[in-house]
Amino acid sequence: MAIAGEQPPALAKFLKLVTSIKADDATEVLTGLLKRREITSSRNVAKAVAKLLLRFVSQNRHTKLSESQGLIKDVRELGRHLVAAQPRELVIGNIVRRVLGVIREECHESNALPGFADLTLGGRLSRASSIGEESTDFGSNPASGTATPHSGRPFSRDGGEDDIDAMSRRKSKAYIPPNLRNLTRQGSIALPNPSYGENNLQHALFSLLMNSTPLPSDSPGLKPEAKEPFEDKDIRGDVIEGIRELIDELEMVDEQVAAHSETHIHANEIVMVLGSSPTLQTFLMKAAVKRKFTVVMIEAYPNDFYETQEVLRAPSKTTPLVGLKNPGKPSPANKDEPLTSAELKATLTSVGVETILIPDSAVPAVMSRVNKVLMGSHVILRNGSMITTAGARTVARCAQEHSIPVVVVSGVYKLSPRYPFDPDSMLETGDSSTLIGWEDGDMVGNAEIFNPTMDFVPGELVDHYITNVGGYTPQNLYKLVEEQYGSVIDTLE
Amino acid sequence: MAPASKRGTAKKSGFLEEAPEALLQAVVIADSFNKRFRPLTLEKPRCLLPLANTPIIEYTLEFLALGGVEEVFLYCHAHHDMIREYIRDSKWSKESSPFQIRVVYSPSITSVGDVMRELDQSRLIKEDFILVSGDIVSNVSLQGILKEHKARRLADKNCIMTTVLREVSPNHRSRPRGENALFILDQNRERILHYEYLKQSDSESAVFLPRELGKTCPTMSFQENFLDCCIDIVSFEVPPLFTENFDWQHSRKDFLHGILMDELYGKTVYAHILKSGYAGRIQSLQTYDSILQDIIRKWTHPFCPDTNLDEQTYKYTKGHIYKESKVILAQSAVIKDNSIIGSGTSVGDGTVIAGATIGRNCMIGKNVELHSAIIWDNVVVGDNCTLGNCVVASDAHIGAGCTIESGAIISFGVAVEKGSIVHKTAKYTKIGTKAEDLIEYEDSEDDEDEQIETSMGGLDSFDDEFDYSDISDFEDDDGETPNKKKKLGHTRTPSESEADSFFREAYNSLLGALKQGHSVDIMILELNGLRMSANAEFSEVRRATATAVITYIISRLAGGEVAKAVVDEILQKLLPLFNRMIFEVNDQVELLTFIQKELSGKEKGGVLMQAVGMKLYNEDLCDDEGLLAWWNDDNGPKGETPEMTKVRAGAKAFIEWIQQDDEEEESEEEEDDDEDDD
Repeated sequence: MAIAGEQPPALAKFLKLVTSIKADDATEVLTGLLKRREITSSRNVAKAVAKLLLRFVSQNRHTKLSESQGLIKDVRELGRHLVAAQPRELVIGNIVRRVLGVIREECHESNALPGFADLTLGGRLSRASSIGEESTDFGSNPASGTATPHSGRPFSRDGGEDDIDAMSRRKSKAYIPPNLRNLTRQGSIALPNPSYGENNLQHALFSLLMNSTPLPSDSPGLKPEAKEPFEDKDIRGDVIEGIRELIDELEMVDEQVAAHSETHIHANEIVMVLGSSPTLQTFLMKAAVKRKFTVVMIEAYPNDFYETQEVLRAPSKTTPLVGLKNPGKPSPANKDEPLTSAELKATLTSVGVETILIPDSAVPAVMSRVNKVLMGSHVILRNGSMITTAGARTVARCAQEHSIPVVVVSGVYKLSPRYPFDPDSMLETGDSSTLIGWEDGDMVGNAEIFNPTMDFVPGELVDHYITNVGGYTPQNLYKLVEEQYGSVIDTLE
Repeated sequence: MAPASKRGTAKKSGFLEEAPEALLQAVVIADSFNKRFRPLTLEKPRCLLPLANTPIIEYTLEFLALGGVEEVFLYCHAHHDMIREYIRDSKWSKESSPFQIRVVYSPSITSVGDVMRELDQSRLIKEDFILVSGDIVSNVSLQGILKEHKARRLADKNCIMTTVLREVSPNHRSRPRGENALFILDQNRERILHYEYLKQSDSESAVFLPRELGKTCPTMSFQENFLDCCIDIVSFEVPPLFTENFDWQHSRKDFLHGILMDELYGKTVYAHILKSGYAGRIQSLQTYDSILQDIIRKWTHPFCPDTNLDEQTYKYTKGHIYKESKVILAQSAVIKDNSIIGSGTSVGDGTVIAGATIGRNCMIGKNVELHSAIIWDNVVVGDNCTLGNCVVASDAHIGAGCTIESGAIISFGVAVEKGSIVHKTAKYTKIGTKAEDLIEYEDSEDDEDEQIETSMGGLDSFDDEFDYSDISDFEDDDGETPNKKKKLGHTRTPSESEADSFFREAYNSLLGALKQGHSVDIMILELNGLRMSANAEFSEVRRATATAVITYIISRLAGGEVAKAVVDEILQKLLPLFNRMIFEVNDQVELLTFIQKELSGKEKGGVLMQAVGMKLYNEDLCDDEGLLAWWNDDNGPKGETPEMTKVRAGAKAFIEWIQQDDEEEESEEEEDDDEDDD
């Protein structure tokens, strides 16, 4: 139940535009917007990319299950293009990977039809051949279904095939012989080729029968039911549904994260806060419903100070503040009821949280009085480190010195499977004029000015990540990465 | 360019919902109309020169895209074909471009004023629009300024322009040297009351203000510290004003000054003084260099090399160093802060790159020192060279052991021999030569300003004082022989260039009047005004008239009308005009010669010549004496091209008829004389 006006105009325009133009054009438009930095912040970028992918998938010519490799390839291509446009918005890669995951999942689920449950390999075979990028004689020449090194080739080359394996294993939790492929290589099984034509199928079955090698007992794919022709399902609808869920997740993420607030903010605590993300704001607001605490806000001058003040000044834009203590009026239990003006105006200060704003330089001085440090994040990396507002590293280091826990709140969409081999390249250097006015002729050209807008915080300095799927320590974050993206590695950069 | 309808349907619908009014239009003038970038602009238009390895025009278009512009008209003159081609192949012509772009070329454009007049005629503009030149680098969002402008328009109907200004400290490196402007603002520093163009050399001279100024505005703010980036939000009423004042050339010196000086207009101009954001205009090599420095140092964020506007692969590393992928650096090469290196470039051992900008596929040898040098693509720099803050254009070859001082310009494809020393004022180009020999394209302007500027060193030294001359980069390539040393400033004597400019103006105004069917009285009035203001000879008037009329006739003929009828109709209408410029026989001859010249090489030239001659004869504008004098004057003379002879041949029948007629008359006259004698 987001209140309008939260989005920057460029994003609003793009979200409107994307539904009316071709996906390719929309990609170019988004590329331009990203390059011109008209859309910034992980959330907005994620929304735009998800919407674009929705459009892209719905217009893609690959709709059938058999063509899913083509779809995956196209989406990956699109992802590479967008990542190249703005390599520092790592969230682009996250969203694209999530959508790739959705597609793979759909592939697997559709494949898991009765009788085909364990024929994933066969299904994939036919798909691979139908794309035409691999040896074309798979469909036409069923003899190739018999085990030859040749038949193993497509898999060894196309990583995507392994992906499905991995996805299916993870999702269904059912046991699938891990090395079916190896078996084929050894020539122990013949592969049925459940292609569109009856003929092919018969050929395939025929070749199976010809091959008298005993089959593994847990390979029931050759039961008579398999005679049904392979149903080439249209997966587009399901994929779109998956992307919609992802978009919903982006809308809901703040509240989901905020649900954990009560367990992390206790009564009469002093919480030091760095960052201006709506997630953080919602988190604090939600905590304020039940608890009385003090917020020490770090100013984050000069790049983020205005937004930081907005967190204190402006009403929360994302929470409907259900259950907010509202004198005289019962809180609206019904979500459809419009918000009262008091609720709309509710700010951190108005709900009774004591707020203190301090400059960045005062952090070490105040740190000893603080119970907890709370931060937002720009992106979280696989190894538990993260990228966030400039100055965060100093704050985190200072907190460590005082043994004060550093807690990061963030949506899981910000979790990137990338490893920070070169953290510097992930950081953005901003406009020099935020430090010194360009009109100052004595400084311009004489003094070198650097204005990094982001900071890299290594995992050792963070104690806890709170995401919409639960809390994690930096050390355990890799598990969450696995869960979100599978073991598939899509190189988009 | 895609027609409006094609794009307008699907794509723009999203925008239209937001703003049901007209599209936001912008006019980009992709020509500087001056020669400060010579000799580089001999081969490439200024707006396509690389700035931080991205063509300058990209920055302007990105800026407009950022401002939410939906339609762009790109007016160009010099190298218009290159610009057109560039735009056609760029992302801006694609469906996905944030705006629709149209490249407009007209040979008659030689100043900003011409563009505005052209704009007025084309009727492309329906709403207030943004006027910028094609060399703007800015990250300011126009939306806020537009909103302010609109609010002001509602409050003050006479507000015709909002101009974007930037306050800078006096010694700011981005201030264009050699030129300055005085703005007089009202007490709120919103309205511009007066504008005066100042030259640094004559800062002592007095400035005359309108008397009323003091009465209406008791408090005024005199400011000279503005950086005028020529970003204007202009009302649709402005182009017609330019048409009215056909002598306005420059948008500041003529238009802004003129409109504020003259109480009669009663128009107001407002200033938007930028408080944040970056805006700069590449007006000269000095500003080119300083804006490049600003881009490297992230003042223009997000328009920096690592944004990869032009599909590059730049990556930012600490110290404002931008490197593209596939750069080959020797282990002992040193890259210091504020450097840009394009892909495919290799740098040899022991080379020091200190704040230099290097394009793609360059070969930098060993032990080279590059201090703030600006090197474009495919340049080869030999071993042991030292380059200062100079510009080395694409495909240049610099031999081993050269020293190139700050301020030198090595244009496209020039090869500098090994061991040579290039001085700071040197400008080398290959244009106009057949072989590899170089021409020194030297600025031998020896006045005071030059001295002052040279002392500033580096690229600062190139401000050509005589900018804003109405000659575009392209204009005088054809006429002059570039093989010899040329002056950068005035190559023509003042009278010549004045005559030329008069001719052009008169021609344009006449042609425009003819096309729009103005009455002949208006044309006479205009022509007279022009003649007086330029102090032009009648001969020039005749030339302009002949050219304009013939051009018009030919354009009408293209529509398929009958030659004779058209000529008769047009000349009939213009009789009073011709009457005022023909006084004696010589004038007739001259006029006919101009007409003949104009008709040469044209289809139906002969037929037209005859028709025109007959008409003039019939209307007694030309008598047989004049016609015959013309006929005999250059009959078989020097300087007549075969085409002109062809035209003349067309009129043969008519002349012969006159000759006969004449002879008869003569005999009659003789008789008369005889009678008189009696």
